[in-house]
Amino acid sequence: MPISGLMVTLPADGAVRERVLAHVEADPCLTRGVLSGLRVALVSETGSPAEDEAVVEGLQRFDGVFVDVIFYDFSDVESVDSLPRRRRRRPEQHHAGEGG
Amino acid sequence: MERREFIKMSAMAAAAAAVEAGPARSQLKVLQNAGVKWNKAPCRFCGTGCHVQVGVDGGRVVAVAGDRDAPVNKGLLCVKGYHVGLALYGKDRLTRPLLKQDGKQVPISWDRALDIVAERIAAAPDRFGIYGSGQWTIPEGYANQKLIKGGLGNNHIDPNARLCMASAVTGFLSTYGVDEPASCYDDLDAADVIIAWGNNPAEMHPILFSRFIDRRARGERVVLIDIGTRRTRTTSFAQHYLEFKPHSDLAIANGIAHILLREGKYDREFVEKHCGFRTEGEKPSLFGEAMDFESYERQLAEYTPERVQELSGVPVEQLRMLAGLFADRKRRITSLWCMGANQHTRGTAMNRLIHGVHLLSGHFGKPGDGPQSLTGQPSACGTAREVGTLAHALPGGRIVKNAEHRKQCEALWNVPEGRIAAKPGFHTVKMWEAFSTEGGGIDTLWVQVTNPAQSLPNVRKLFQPSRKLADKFLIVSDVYPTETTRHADLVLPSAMWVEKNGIFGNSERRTQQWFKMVEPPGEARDDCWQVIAVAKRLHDLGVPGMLDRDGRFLFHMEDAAGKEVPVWDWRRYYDINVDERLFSEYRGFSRLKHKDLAPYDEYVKSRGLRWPVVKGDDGIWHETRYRFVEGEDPYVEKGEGFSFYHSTSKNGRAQIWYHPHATPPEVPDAEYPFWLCTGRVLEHWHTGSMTMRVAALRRAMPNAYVEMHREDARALGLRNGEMVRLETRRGALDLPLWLDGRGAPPRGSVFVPFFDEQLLINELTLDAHDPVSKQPDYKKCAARVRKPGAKAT
Amino acid sequence: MNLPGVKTGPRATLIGVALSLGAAAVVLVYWTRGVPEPAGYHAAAPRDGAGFEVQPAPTYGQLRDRAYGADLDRHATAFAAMGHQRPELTAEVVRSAEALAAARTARAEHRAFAGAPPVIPHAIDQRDYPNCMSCHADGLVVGERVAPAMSHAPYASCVQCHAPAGAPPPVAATAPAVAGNTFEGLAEPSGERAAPGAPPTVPHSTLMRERCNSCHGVLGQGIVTTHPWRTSCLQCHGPSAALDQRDSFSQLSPPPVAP
Repeated sequence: MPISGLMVTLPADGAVRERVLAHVEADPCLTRGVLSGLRVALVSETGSPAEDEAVVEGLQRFDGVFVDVIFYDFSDVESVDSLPRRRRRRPEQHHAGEGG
Repeated sequence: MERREFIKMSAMAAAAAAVEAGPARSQLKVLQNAGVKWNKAPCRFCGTGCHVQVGVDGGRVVAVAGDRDAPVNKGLLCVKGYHVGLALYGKDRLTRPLLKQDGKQVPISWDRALDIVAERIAAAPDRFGIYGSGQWTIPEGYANQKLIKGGLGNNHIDPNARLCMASAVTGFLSTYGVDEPASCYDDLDAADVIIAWGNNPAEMHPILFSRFIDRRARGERVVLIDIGTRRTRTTSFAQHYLEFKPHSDLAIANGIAHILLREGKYDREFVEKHCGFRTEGEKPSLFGEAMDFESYERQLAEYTPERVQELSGVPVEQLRMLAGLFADRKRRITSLWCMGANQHTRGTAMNRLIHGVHLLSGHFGKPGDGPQSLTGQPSACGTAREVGTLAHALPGGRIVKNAEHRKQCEALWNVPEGRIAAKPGFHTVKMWEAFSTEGGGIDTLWVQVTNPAQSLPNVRKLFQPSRKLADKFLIVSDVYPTETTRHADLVLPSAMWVEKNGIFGNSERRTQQWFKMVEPPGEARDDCWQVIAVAKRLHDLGVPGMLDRDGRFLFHMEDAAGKEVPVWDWRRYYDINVDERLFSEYRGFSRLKHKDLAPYDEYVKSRGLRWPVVKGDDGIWHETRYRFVEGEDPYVEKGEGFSFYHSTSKNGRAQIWYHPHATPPEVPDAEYPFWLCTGRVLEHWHTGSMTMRVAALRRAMPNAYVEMHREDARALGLRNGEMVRLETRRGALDLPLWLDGRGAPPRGSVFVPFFDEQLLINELTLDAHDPVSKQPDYKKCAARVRKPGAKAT
Repeated sequence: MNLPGVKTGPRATLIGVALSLGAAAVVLVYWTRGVPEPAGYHAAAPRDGAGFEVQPAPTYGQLRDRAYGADLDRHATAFAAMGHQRPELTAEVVRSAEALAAARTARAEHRAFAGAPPVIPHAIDQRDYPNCMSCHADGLVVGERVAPAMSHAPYASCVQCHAPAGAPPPVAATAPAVAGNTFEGLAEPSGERAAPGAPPTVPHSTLMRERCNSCHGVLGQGIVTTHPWRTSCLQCHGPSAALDQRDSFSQLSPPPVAP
């Protein structure tokens, strides 16, 4: 269950900006924080790293939106475990390859 | 659950902090190093000639690093160099040609702008002048030189380098018969003693300064001697500080020579074999009058240490110490000087005397042992001096007065014989006088890459009057609005630095090439293109001189297939590498005075090469570290040891000059009791048109000030930080007072930096100049200081 | 895998570790500020983008006259006292996202781009031989502020690269507003790991940053290592030849001639 803190820079175009904010309101994964000028703080809480990526990509699809990941946490055991376990094998395979 | 809430709060806090503290999105650029392309370029600023690595991403410069492979700076830069990339991005870059109409500058098209320039020139080609710069790239200077001298047959071209390097040039020419240093920066790695003659390299040439001062950190003993008129950052690193009265540096040099002769400690063998003696004749000239050793000795007899102390204020013990160093043949002594000796009404003389002390004592031609003149502009050497963009000169060390030289140049340019005029054009001060005088010899003046309204001396006399005369038309090519563009009739927006191809030549004869890396903003275009495009229009208007002997356009260029490329058309300008074509043509001139340049491609591969660059039997192009020295200079024959093969006396000897101490044209008196000296500061380069647009530099040094001794301030009832009025016979200026600041002048002396366009110190300076070099003296005039509003006392 | 010297409660440590992992995993560049408008150590917003408050020099600086003179003893005592505030090598390292974010912000505020020499956030002696080394040789804790150790071998003339972030007071009063500039600087990059738990590579040039403990040592703020007692950093953290200009020949691009 990754949690990210995002700094989102909104487009200068008012109409697009409204659409982005509406998108944020509509997405249950996103919590809106302080809005200052063209920037807004968001927290995204999703079920997996892939979903987290999808949320960010969804925001970036709007013209003129920039997303900066300020904070990222996947201290949840399940998601972290699933990620490293898959990758941890790599060096072993590499070793095997060298030996053969 | 509680933990999740905590993490969410943390995430929100971090994001909110970023929202609050972050900059506007327009300032952000999401980058990864992987996307950044790096390429080499020499730094845009001073004459040191450091190489930087320029990081480009998304068509913009995003970072700058010192170039590890550069022999000059070995990976290090100064604060200006690290921020040179920002100089491209000031918000007020000039992006469109502007024409003054009814007192207002309005945007016009390039076509119209070029038509106007061409029509002005065509109307009176002999009353047209070009005022250029030591910041011209070599191809830019060469194109201008060819247009005006090889095309229009008019010699009214002079660079701002006249204001900074002319005395160095005349000093070299009259001593060695050929311009530019015989030694190189390698000296700084080998010298035991460094002498700064009226020079503050800690601020003005920081990389050269650190090149020797950092040797101390490696356990080497490097003695630094600062001969100056005020304490500076350089002084704080010096073992010896010799404070002299302004203008008395000639007496100090004579004093050293006197001691060397009287004690028999000069290098008799070197002098007898390789030197001659000269003194100034009735009329100042490069050649002077020959004299024998005995007359030289006799002339110096009066410069006893006691007499020199009286003239200069430098104590006898310090003079003896200095002479003692020169007397010691085992020590390696490098002299450094720049504007202190050059911007001097006796500038040529002072340059000669520094060379003379080194020649007389035999401290010459060995690593670490020799005189090294420093330059202020990135290509004062490469362009102004080597391409010879001066009123009296031609490329390759040729001069316009010499019929044979004109013929050589006409042949190389492939223009008809007789094209080049025999009469020298106006030098800088004369050119501006002519432009500022009704009916004076110049009606149309094209200023490129420089800011004379701020940097000329006595601007009220030399610059400002022209702006009120109806028949005068001022064209200015520049990158930012400056004091000069503001007063221009026509402003042409230029590309700068890595927005174009270029080649510079630094203070140690190093020629350095770079490629265009980013596009110039808006409609800004290369200066070189501007010159060629104007030439094409002159050609189309039928102005004589735009064709060569074969009836081809003066800047005829072909592609690899032999087809003419219309490089005057901006859309086609980068179809070929125009820089390479111009450089290859110019290379032919470089051999005329043994300043051989390598083919363009060799410079592409290197971080600059020091001329003469000669191809060896091994097929490799070899640069030269020490000129006139056997085994180093390819033009010195085996067995000669040393050979000054351009000697003015035609016998292979260098000249040791004698010049008496003389009083400066203006000295403090009861009415104007202070010496006023002007100069630069570390953070800003020249008139600040680039560095003042870089926040890090401008914050550190936002405006000009006046430095004064605390006791003088107390006597005048002035406090630190207070606004004071500085006055000379030419003008007045209100400035903040800075006591114990960056520099510390002695009593009776004040200093003001000249970078600030809001506070134009050159409205106050004197336009008196050296009789040989015509270089003005910005370093000395009489001034007074008082509270604004208070009456002069 | 336990990182030595760090309390390894599974949750407490992971936040810090996760940050770099997370950034790499989701292939998003962590970003703070592109163009710093120096604003001091505190993350207060710069006043209309231009005002920079020069921090007054710390009091011990006032003890020093041109030479320490009679104050030498007091000076030495003050420095010795401050030396004690230095954390032990084995002290617990607590890393947090906030501290990292703050460190990145602070870094960006003092630099025009990643790799630019940081500005000096305090008043200095403008002329005399700089005594920067008193504090910046090994780094020093001064109350709540940290004087970081130099990241490179000493060069004698520090102020030729590092300019004060503010104007000298006598001049500052008359300083006009800073002119606008649209430069967008290279950001401080994030490290990459070959695999989770593998040591991250050095994401920046080591040119002028060869003393890792300047930023990553015990006084490092936010970007501190968990193992400051290990001194041969590059034996595990690989630098980049490209960034270090060790593949310079390949950097020379062909002439830009249009097709």
